[in-house]
This record gives sequence, structure tokens and C-alpha cells, in this order.
Amino acid sequence: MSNQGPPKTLETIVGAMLPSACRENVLGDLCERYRSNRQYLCEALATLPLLVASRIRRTADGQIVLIEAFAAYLSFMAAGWQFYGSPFFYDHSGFLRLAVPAIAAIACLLVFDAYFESRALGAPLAVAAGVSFQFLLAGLIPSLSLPAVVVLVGGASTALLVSGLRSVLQASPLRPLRQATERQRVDPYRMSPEEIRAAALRLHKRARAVRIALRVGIQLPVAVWVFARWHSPSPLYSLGCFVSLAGSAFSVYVIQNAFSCGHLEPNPSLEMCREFYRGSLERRLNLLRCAWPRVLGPLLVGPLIVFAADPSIQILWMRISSLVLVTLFYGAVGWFARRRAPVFQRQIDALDRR
Amino acid sequence: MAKTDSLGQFEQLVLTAILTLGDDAYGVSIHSKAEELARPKEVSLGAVYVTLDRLEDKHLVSSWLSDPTPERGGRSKRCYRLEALGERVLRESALTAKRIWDVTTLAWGKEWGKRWGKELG
Repeated sequence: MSNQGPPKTLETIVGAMLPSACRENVLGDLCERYRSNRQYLCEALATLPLLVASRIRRTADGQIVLIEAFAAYLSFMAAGWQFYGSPFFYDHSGFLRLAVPAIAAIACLLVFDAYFESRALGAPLAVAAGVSFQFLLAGLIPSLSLPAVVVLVGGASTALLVSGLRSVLQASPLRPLRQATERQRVDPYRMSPEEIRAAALRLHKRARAVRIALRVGIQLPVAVWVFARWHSPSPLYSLGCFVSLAGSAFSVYVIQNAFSCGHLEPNPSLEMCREFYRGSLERRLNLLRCAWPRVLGPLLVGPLIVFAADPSIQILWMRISSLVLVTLFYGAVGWFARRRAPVFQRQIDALDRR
Repeated sequence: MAKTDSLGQFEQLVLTAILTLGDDAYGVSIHSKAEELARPKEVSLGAVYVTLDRLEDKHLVSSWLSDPTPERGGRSKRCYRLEALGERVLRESALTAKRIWDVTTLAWGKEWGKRWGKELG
């Protein structure tokens, strides 16, 4: 082994390609094994895919990824339906074409999570990358292209929906990535006083943004959609629109309550931070336990009536497939929400043990 | 939490390498030792990192960052050590390997056992 290290430029390039959580030690190991520029680069390139795959395995939660993928697909479908109606799905492989930006967005999301510590901008940036990929693909394979308005509106609603799902379904701001960079803990849910304080302050700061995002992300699209389709010849269809609007307003109210965890004074004590954080976890735990009757049920009824009464859908199996897809999505969200509840409970128990 | 009740062959090699290296167990040294144990097979550095991550998730090993050293371009090492659960699992794997060795030697004859014992050092 040589004592001379690799050139700075080469090391910077390799460092930029490595996930931040393992950059320090992997660059050190590669530097220690350095014999020539070629050997260094070859070894770095051979190691990189395995490292990224391992980071993805550690940072990604299978259940949340699945539900995010479902949400992304449904967002693009909703955008397609909104602008071009149901024939859009059945002409020129619409279902397949809509899956491309959804898959690209979720793939980018997985890679972003593996690379970067902060998740705040992860969803919008990853969706933007996925949308860019769709435009690139449209240039290369025109048969897979989608109208720009569908991609942009679908992308925007995916970013909002995924950010919202993450806010609701993730218990702790501590991520596996962060835990993995520190010394292994006996109790993975235990938090230090600094972590509790940071989590409480972050939640307090985010609560307002989450409430606004909920109004913009759920209520506004529903209101626009209802307004556009209000004057339908079918009274049942109009009733469905009204029920959708009322259901979304009720669901937003319930979710907002879960994120309204009181006021936190400037420079709060540790005990205040702990109480604030615990209260927030409890509210979200209750929300997850009652996700079906209080959030998903009210959201589901309206769209089901609309799909059942939609005059533009003439063929029965098309009507049934739309109903089944929407019900499946809500069913999956409800099932995952119930499965996430114990994670919040363990976090609360860990706070109580302090 | 990841399942800990079964260990792959490569995981056993990496655990053995960490056990042997003691306080000096970090990426490069673990890779060298694992390569020595796996010979004549070659072992890639990436495979060692992936396995170390998996063992850490299974709570069999723990890791921490050491102080930076000049020979590594001022970068820290990620050091590893066996946890109690890791030692127990490795002991069970060693006993299983010993039982396999005893049975195969009995089946294929003591000469075979002696010859392979010498060749493997």
C-alpha cells in the first residue's frame, strides 16, 4: 500500500457520489487502499452501487414506499382524469403511461433519502426529478409520453400527498440513517434530551406549514374539481361532488387537529418540549388508530358516488375498475395506518421511560 | 428489527473477522481478514460494507467513528465490535460447522479429514 493518497479532484468526485452517511469512513478506507488512480476509481465505482443499495435498504420503509407509490400513481391518474376524462386511461395504454412518472418519482425519492440527511425538501425535489425524467423519456420514446399538464399537476399533487403521508406516518424525526451513523443503541426509540428538544421545536415549526399544506393539498383540488363538475346532468353525480367536498373538509379538520398540539414558548424547558412532543405523538397515534372512520371513510364516500354515477363512463367494467382502484388505495392507506400505530406507541413508551 | 436467527456464510466470515481483529476492526482490516478466511474466493469491499450494515441492523455488531488519522487523508475509521448477541450467534454457527465437519469426516473417512485439515491450515 502506498502512503500517497489519491488526487484531491478524484477524491472530491468520488466523495460527491457517496451517500453522506458513509462518506467519511468509505473515503478513508479507499484512501488507505490507494495504489493508483485507476485502481482507486475502479474500486470506488465497484463499491458505490452496493453502498447505495445498502443505504436504500436501511432508509426505506417498505410499507411507506408502497403507499407512496400508490399515492403517486393515483395522483397522476387523477390529473389525467381531471383534464381528459376516463377515455384517457383506455386509449393508447393510459394506465401504463401514467405509471412511468409515478415509478420515476418513487425511485428518485428512494435515492434522495439514501443520499441526504434532510427529508424536508426530499419529496418535492424527488418528484421534480421524476417529472423531468418523464419529459426526457417523452423525447426518447414518444409512445410513453404524457400531456405536460397531466405530468405537472400530477407531480405537484404527488409532492403534496407524499409529504403529507410522511408527516402523518413517520413517528420520529430520527431516521435509521441517522441512527446508523451513531453508535448502536440498546433502545432504538430512546431519545437524548437534545433530540427531544430538536424534535419538539421542529414539530412546532412544521405544524403551521402542515395545516396550510393540508388545505392547499386536499381541500383546494377537491373544491376546484367539484366546481368544474357541479353542473352535471346527473343529480347523483352532483350529490357525489357535494359529499366529496364535505368529506374532504371533515378529513382535513380531523388531520389538522392531530397536528394542532398547542403552543410552545420561546426557549422552552426540556419538560415542556417532552410534553409537547408526547402530545403530538399521542394525537397522531389516535389519528392512525381511527384512520378509517375519521379520515378515509369520509374521503372515500364522495368519489365512490361520483365514479358510480359518472356519465362519461359507458362500459361497466371501466366503472368497476375505477371503483376498485380507489377503494384499494384507501383500503391500503387504512391498513398501513393501523400497522404504523405501534411505532408511535413505542416512541411514547420510550419518552415515558425517561 | 431484522431477523437474527439465521446467518449466511459471508456474515459468519465477517463476524469471525471482527472477532479476530478485536479493537482494530474497521472496513479495510475486516475486508483483508474476510478475504483471508474466504480464500480462494475474492471478496469485494462493497460486499463487506453491505454485510456490516446488515449485521448492525440485526444488532449483532455495533459501530462508532474513531478519531481522524493522517494516513487516511484526515478521515475517521468506522470501527466495529461484536455485541453479546453476535458472539452467541457466531458460537452457534461455529458449533454447527464443527458438527458438519465431524459428520463428513466420519462419512468420507479420517484420511479425507486429515488431508483437508492440512490443506486448509
